[in-house]
Amino acid sequence: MITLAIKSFYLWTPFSLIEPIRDVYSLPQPEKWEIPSPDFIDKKKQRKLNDFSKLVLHSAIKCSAPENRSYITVLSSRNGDINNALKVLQDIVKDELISPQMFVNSVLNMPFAHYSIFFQNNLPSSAISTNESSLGYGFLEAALNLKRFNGNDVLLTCADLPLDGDLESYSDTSYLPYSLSMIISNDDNQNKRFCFEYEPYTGQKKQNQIPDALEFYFHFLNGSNDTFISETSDSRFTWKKQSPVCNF
Amino acid sequence: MNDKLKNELKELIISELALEDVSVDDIRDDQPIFNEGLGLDSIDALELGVAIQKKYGVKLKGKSDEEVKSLFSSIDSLADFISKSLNQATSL
Repeated sequence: MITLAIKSFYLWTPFSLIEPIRDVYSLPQPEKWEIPSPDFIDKKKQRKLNDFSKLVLHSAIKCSAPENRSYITVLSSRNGDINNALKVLQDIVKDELISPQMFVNSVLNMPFAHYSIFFQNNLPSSAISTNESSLGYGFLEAALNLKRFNGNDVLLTCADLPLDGDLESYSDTSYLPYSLSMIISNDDNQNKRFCFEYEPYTGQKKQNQIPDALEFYFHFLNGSNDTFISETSDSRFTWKKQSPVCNF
Repeated sequence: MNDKLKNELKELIISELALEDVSVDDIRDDQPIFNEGLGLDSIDALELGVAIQKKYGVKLKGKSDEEVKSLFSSIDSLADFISKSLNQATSL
């Protein structure tokens, strides 16, 4: 069991967040929604960003303080920019010329590579993708990095976009667009601390109706539940607030 | 021919490299395109090379890196190279 703290968080989704949690499942995906633009990044530089990078950077920047952009960064995504990556692969198969910018952006750690360049952040960065377990493994990676690079906070962002084009038929409500950023630290403020545990799991996995990260946000991070459990086909992650008055 | 080609190239640069705040009139024929000019970088050069190859069937190549660099130095040099390559292909 590991004890950590969440200093701040920020969530972007195209949904109205004033809806009570019981209605989140029935919320229709808005017909028209736009990828948010990241603040503090020059428009000329933004042209290099694809939609996935814009989404990740938007919440990451909103979550961090303008006076401190130096963080160990961890990106955790179920699919990364799979829509773009598939287009690149299709061009390769058809023996067509590949767009170099699209190829660069298809690499999973590009959003935080952009972050590091734009904000001269020299701290380590990693990106992981573990399908439905991505939220839990993102926290595990954040915890390991806190231990490895003691003294620096971790900016963890969990983000995904809906599947489109040839992949659209695989999409369901668990592929809603969102980006959740959190500053994870070893801070000893009791009201910000939680216990985190990982264990291998082979039981019946729960069918997620919305992405794990959104469930985590609505029920635990910004909700009243003291405990949040994420069970996938091979792992179980448990988050438990350390104080009854815990307020992230 | 060259003026039309130069305008096409400017439009291609703006659309392919997503230069939202730049218009055709903002790009001078003899202006450096990269670094201090339009502020483009090496990935932009690759992107532009691919776009030109797709549109005109012309591969931007030279005998040395310096020669390739000089092709990308301005709209004038790009248009000259493409124009000559297209003429050579027609005369074959």
